[in-house]
Amino acid sequence: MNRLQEIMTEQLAQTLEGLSFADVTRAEHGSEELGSARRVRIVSGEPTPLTITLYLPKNLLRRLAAAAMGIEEAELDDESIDDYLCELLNTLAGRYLTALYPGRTYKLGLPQLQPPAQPAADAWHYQADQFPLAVTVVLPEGTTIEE
Amino acid sequence: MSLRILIVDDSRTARGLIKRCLGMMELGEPEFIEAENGQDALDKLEEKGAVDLILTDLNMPIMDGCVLLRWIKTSPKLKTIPTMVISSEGDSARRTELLELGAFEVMAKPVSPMTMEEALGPMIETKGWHA
Repeated sequence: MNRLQEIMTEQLAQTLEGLSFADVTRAEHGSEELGSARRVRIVSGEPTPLTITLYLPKNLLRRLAAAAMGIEEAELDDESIDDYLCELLNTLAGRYLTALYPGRTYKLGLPQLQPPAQPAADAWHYQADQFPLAVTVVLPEGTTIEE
Repeated sequence: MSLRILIVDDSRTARGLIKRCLGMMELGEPEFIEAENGQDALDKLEEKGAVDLILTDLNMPIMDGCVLLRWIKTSPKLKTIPTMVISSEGDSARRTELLELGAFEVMAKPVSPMTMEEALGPMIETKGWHA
């Protein structure tokens, strides 16, 4: 596991535990289910251009959002689920960049929902409460993270 | 008279979580006013009058939390309202900047009843807001 993934694994676990009391573990393989999952992306421009994309199936999202809000899953509409997904990525990305660039300032855009797509081959796969999820962190070709 | 709290965040989920945490504190039955960005917050303050406390996110469209904080802290009418930033952007340089701008605390997301109590506790004691 490289440093970028190590930090993501730690921050994803802490974010999902803090937000929705969910347990996150690494998974060796992806799941076909993620091809139709909800997908959201956020871009950071500084100090290094970087895009983070999160893939979560709707049934997992519904469970996590209900736990976060302290309500029944049936009470959630699609708009609330998407809002939760955006807030999850916003929180995760902020924590990730804070851990990646300690003591430095960074710029973070706003989360943007994307049409479903199968995660790239180099996606990092996880499980939360037995459901699959995936994250990709993409840097422009030839770019490296400044230490 | 109940406490009036303005919550500024573009995420309905985040506003809901903040209200839920505040609801678990002994603050009586606060009146929550919600705004989706800094401009919306200034409009709500104009429309609904002064509040006792402002909690704002940073990363928002139209007007972000940093610009909102500058507006509040340079406005003769608003500058005395205690303002806390709640954000996932937790770098120390940004924290220092926000405290210098006049935020009384900068709290990291995700919020929980425990972290909310830690961050707001001293202000609640000072102001005597306990129900």
